Amino acid sequence: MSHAQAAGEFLRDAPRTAWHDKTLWMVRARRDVRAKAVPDWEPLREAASRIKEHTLSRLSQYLQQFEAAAQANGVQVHWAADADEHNRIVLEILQASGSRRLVKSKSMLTEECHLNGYLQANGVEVVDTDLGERIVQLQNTPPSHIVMPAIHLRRVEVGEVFHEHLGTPRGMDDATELTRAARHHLRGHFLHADAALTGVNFAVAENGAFVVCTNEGNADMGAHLAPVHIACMGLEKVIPRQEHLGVFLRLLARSATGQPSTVFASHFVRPRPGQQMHVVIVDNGRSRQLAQPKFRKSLACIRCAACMNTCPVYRRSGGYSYSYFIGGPIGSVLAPNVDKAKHSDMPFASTLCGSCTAVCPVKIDLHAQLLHWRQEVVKAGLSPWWKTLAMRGMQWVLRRPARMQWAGGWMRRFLPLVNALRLDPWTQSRDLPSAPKQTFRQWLQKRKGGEL
Amino acid sequence: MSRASREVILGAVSAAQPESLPLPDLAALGLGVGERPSVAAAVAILDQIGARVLRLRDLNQVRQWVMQAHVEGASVVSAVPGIEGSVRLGELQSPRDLDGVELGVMRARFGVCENGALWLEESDLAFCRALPVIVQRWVVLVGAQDWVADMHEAYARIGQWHSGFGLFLAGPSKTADIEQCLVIGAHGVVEATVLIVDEGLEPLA
Ligand code: SF4
Repeated sequence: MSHAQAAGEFLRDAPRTAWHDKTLWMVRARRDVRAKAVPDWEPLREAASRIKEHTLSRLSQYLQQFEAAAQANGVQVHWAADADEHNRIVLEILQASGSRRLVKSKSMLTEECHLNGYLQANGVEVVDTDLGERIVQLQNTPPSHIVMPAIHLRRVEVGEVFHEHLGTPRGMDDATELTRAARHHLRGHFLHADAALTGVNFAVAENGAFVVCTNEGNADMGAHLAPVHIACMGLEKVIPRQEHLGVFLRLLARSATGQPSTVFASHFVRPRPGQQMHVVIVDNGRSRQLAQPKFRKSLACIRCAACMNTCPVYRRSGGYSYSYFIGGPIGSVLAPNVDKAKHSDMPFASTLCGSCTAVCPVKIDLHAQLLHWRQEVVKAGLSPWWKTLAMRGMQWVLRRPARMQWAGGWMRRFLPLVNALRLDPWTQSRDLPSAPKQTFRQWLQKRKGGEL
Repeated sequence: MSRASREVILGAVSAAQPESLPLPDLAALGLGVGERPSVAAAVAILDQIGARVLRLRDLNQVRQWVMQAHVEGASVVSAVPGIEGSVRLGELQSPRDLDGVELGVMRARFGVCENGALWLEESDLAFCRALPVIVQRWVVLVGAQDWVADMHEAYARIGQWHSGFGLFLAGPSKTADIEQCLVIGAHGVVEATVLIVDEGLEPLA
């Protein structure tokens, strides 16, 4: 299904779409208020951008430095070239430690690798513990947003899911009561987990520490109680120095949800006595993206989702309208690197308004990259035949002034027909403006009183 | 397997990374310009993020405050020397045993004015890392003088540290995953109190 078709499905439920749009815009507005309250916001973005660019230019060095420091801290470091290897490594760690029950905090990387299904098929009980992720896990669906996984669902629907799976009373739809029910249910899982898996927000090369940010406290709850902690990170998560955390932590929560900081920013350095701590560093296409100068900067992303919240297309089409598990501008820049053919229409799910670039805390040129991907997609012959045909036609017309003149006159006359027939998606919901009485050329000729 | 992948990945990264760019000079970029946030700003933010703030004179007042919680029937666990709890951390078999304990008492090394976050290291949690998240409520002491303006100053103050774990803790745990309705008390505490203590706190090791 194309993005446009999937968006059409989402748009069928008009009140939900309106709510989705309004709610994400509210998050964007909260971000604006917070950002404006920081006097050095722009220098901060500049610093973040340059630190990331520097890091990417010496990534292999920093990865090795991080590895050595983490190992010296007693952390076991693993390397995974792709999703399969990542999943195998996690399973091996679990099996070697006799772990059957795993609690997970939010990790987009494990979503990318489809870890849950793999572990479950191998007899591991996997419980997502972020509230939003738990809701979608119980529904057997993927998250629709990287920071707010269940943003597409209404309270009543969450109530139904909990009634079915957690045994809450039918019709319970109060957010506080539902959250309490989830807290109770998940606490049981935390207390009995054999292992905890977390993501990594930042990995510090100079001292081997890694930082995990949450509001709910689920990463801490899992990691501090279970005898085994596995932290999975994409190789772009490394930063050179601890002091750089000051830059990124100031930006992250403000950009993501408009909070001054996340409730927990936990710095893991060494395992606690008797605990095993593992870090899995994953490539899975990242080094390929790094090799492409036009798209390299996308690896600076800190997954705040500000670009999604501000995107007029994302807000009105929902996370499920995108063919990749990360939607919105950043998803549309990352996805074609994973599979250009499969995600060929994602770079087109944008108005190129540039709002994403304007809010991005690490200054990724998102809209420019979207445009570059469009060019790559067309070059690879992956754009739909009608678009290619239309472009060829356009090219043919624009090449000769005479053809242009003829086509202009023709267009003026047939515009009312285009509006009446409503054959293309644009005119299905709005009219093209009515054509002027004369062409620009005719007008100019008249003014100058003669030949051009 | 993993070993081979390490070489493959590092090789691919080395080949892909562009020519080395310089590390930016953070000071020259103008970070930390403008008005410096004060403790008053932190108090306002803590209020916004759902934490209660009380200003107390000394450790005696803190003791009285904790005693009051005892009297009200709460089980108390304390990681602060000189403040007694009803549950002793040293006697626990596992951090899981703290499940069900009502109140956790801790002391932060310092607070951050710009966001209300408090920095605690493992030793400030009596080496029970789960403490700030597993109890139902926490109370964190912080000296009135122990505040830094922003996160840059915070990391400058932390500098080289030797704990196995440390965290910035900003208010009670929360979620807005159901329809963006804010609910205080997700997996961590449902209530948080910051006690700003004027005098008499021992310097932290
Ligand atoms: S691309 Fe920028 S705005 Fe979008 S999620 Fe990443 S860091 Fe945030």
